[in-house]
Amino acid sequence: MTVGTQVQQAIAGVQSAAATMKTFALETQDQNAKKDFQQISKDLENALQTLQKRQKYIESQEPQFKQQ
Amino acid sequence: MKEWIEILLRSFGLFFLTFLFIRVMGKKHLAKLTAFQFVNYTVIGIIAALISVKVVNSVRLGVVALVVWILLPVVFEFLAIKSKVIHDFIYGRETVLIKKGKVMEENLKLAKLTGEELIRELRSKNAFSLADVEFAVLETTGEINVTLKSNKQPVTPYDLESKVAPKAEPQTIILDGNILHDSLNNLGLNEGWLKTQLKGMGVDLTNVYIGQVDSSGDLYVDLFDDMIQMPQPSVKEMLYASLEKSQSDFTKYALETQDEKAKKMYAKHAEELENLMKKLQSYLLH
Repeated sequence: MTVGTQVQQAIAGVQSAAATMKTFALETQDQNAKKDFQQISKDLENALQTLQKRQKYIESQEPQFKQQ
Repeated sequence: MKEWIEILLRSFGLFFLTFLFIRVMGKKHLAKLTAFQFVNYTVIGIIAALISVKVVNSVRLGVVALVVWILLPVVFEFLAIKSKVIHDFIYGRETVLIKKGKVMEENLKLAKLTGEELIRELRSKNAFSLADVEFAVLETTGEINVTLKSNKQPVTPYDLESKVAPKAEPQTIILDGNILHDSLNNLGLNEGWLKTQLKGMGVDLTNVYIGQVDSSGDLYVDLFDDMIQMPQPSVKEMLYASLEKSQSDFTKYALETQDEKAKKMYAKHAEELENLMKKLQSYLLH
């Protein structure tokens, strides 16, 4: 497994977690929990952007790792 | 006949007669009448009042005058719809006061408006600076309407080049705890749907003061009991979040599986979902 794939896997995982947090935030009635979930989903989205930048960098450095 | 009975009968008769006639004359906002229409309504009111308190002794003569003052405007209005010339003759024409940012002083004089009045009217249309005004027109009702220069106009989604979902007017389906069946049917919904929605919110119908459904089918309710916190409708955001989750799951599976065929299948569906999300974003979010 190449680093490129690993990063891609991490991206998919974080994306899924962010989406789950969003559903939690929308579903819960508890205002405090809602705020917490929203904060977590925002943090995860930030992490996602960083990871995506990293992935682009890796792809430019090692084009052979690029996934079809 | 005793006098008070006569006045009672006259008033009753004229009340309904005038009411009927005014309905015939059409729906017009009182503040948007032309000067002549205003005079017309006033004359009708005065004649009716004079007859009903017996200043005009003969009911027959009074009603003749009333009918003339009511029928003539109806006839003129009918002619005005048919012909532009008659329309302009009766209602007059609008006067351009500002064109391409320049005040037309002659037209201002013709309309008997002072500069101060013009500026006051512009201010009431939120155009505080004359430099922002591109065009202003004095309507026949005396109202002044203004367009601002294109770079001073409020930003619209079109300017931002962003797509927005079409939005129709919301329908009120519950008022004072009663279901309004007409508007519910207009939306193509039924009582069963409403009951399920209310049950999902955990609210009883009798506790709802106003319930509105927007064009995407979200129900918003206001309760008699203001202490209860109602969850905002978020069906669309929910749907988008689930789509997001499925999409990322597909990507994950595509990376994890060893089977080449399954890998391709997962990747393809992940891409399809991503395209779908792009298309739906403007409809489901905001």
